[in-house]
Amino acid sequence: MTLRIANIGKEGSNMPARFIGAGFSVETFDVGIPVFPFNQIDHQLKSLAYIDACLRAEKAGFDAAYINTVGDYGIEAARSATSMLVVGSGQSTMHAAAQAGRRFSIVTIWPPATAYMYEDLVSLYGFEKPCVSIRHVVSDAYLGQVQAEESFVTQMKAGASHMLDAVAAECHKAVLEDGADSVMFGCTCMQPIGDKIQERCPFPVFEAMRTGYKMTEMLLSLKLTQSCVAYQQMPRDSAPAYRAAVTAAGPLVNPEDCQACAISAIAAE
Amino acid sequence: MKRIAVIGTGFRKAGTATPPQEILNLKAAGFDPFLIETRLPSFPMNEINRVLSETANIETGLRAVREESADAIFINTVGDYGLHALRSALRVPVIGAGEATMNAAAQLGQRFSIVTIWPRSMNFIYTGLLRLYRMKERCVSVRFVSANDELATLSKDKNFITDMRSGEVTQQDRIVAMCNRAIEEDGADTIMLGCTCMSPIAADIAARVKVPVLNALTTGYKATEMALSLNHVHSVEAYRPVGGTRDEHYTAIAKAVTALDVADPRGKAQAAE
Repeated sequence: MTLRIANIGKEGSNMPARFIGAGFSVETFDVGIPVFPFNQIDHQLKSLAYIDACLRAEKAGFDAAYINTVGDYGIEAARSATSMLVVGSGQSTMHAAAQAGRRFSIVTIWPPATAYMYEDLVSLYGFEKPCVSIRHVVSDAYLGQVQAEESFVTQMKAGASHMLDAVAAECHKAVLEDGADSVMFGCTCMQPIGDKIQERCPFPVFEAMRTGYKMTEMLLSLKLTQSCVAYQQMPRDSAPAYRAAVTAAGPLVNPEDCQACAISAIAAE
Repeated sequence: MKRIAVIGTGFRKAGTATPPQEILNLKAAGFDPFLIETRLPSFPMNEINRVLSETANIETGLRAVREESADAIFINTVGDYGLHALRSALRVPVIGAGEATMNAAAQLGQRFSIVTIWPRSMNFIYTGLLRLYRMKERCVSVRFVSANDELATLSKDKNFITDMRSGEVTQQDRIVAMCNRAIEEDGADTIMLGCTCMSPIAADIAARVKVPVLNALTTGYKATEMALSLNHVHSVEAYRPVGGTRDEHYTAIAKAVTALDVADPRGKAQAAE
C-alpha cells in the first residue's frame, strides 16, 4: 500500500523524485496566502495558510503532511488539529544536524530581518546550546530590492557562481569562526544547491528539504505520529474555519517575489 | 544495494547473519541489512563492564567495514556502546539506537519517558546518555520495570527477559503499567522503550498505550537507512580521525578483544545469560 505524503509548500517546491522512496507518493499542496514572513505578523498569516493546507491534506486522505519550510509554520497548531502525522523541515533538520556533531550552524539565504524566526525555532526545539550561530547570506539591504528591476535575484541569475561562493563562504565561516562542526540550510528553497555546496564543504551540510522529507518517510514507515497528549486534540473540525480565513485573507496580501526562483535558476544551470 | 551492519540482535547471539525479523519486516528497497555479532561477550551491568561492551562493539564495527563491506553501522542497543569511537574511526554513517530514538521521541512530543525492562541498577547507562545527548530536559523520567534482584535470574534459560520477548502477559502488563505511570505521574507524552531487546513486543505495547511508543530497534535502524539515503555522515570536526590508520586501529582493538576474552571467562557467562 502506498503511503501518501502531502508536501505543504509553495507551488514549485515539488519534491524531487530522487528523494521519494519506494512505497511513498508525494503531492504538493499549495498554501493560500502569498506572503513572506519578514516580520511576526506576516509569520502569523503564513502559519494560517500552512495550517489550512495541512487540514485540507487530512481531509483528502493523506497519511502525513510535510511542512516543507524550515520555518515550520503552523506546525504545533496543525498537530493539535489533526491525527495525521505532521513533520516540519526545521525541527527534523535541527535534530539531524545536532546528531552529526557537537555544534551546528544555520546558514540561510535570507537576510537578518528573518533572524527572529530562526531564534524562536532554536529556542522552541531546545537547541540553544548546540546551535552556535545563524548566518545570513544576504543583508537587509536586499529587502528593498525585491521588487526592483535590478535585485540580488537578477544578480543571482546572472552570476550563479557568485551565489554559490557566498553560500559556501558562510558555511566555512560557521565552522572556522563560530565553531560549528556541521551546517544546516535555513531554507528549503536552497534545495537545488545542496549537492553543489556539499561538494565545497568537508563537513556535513544538511539540506533541509530532503532531510525533513526523509524524516517524514521514516516516521510513517514506523507508524509513528505526534503525541496526542503533547498536542491536545480539539473536539471540532477546524478545517472550514481555516479555509474561510485563508480564502478571505489571501487576496488582501501582495504577491511575493520569492527569491527561491533565483535559486532554482542556479540549480538549473 | 547499500549494506547496513546491524551490531547485535539486541538480545542473545543468533549465530547467523540474519538480522532481527523486525528489521526484515520494514527494511526499504535498496538496503541489505546483515547481522554482525561481537567477539567479546559482555553485559554492561556496571561501568567497567560497559567498557567491555564498548570495546566489543568497536571491534565489531571496524570489522563490519573492513571485512563485510558495510556502508553503514547500526549499533543495535540503546546503550550506543562504541558510538563515538566508531565515528572517529570511520567515514560511513554510524547510528546508535539510543541517540536516534531519543531524537525521534523529542520530535513527537514535548516530554518523553524511557521505560526499560531493566532494573534501576542500570540507571547509570541512561543518565550518562541523556547528559551526553543533551536530552535531560526533554526526558522526564526513566522507569525501570524489573527489580535489581531479577538480574540474578538471567543465568536461567527462562527468565523475565525471555518471558517478555515471548509475549508473556504478566511481563507485558508490567511494562504497560509503567508506561501509564510515566504518563500520569511524570507527565510524559511519549514513551521510548529502553532496550532493543523489547522490540518483539513493542507493537503490542504501543497498541495498549495512548501515547507514541518508540521501538528503539526499528527506529534506530530506519534512522540508519535515512542517513545512508541522504549521505549524512558525522562531522570530522566533532569526530577527528587522527592517529594511526584504520588497519592499526583494528589490529589494536582486535588484539585487545582477544586478550579480554581470554582473561575474563566470567564475562562469557554473564554475556551468555
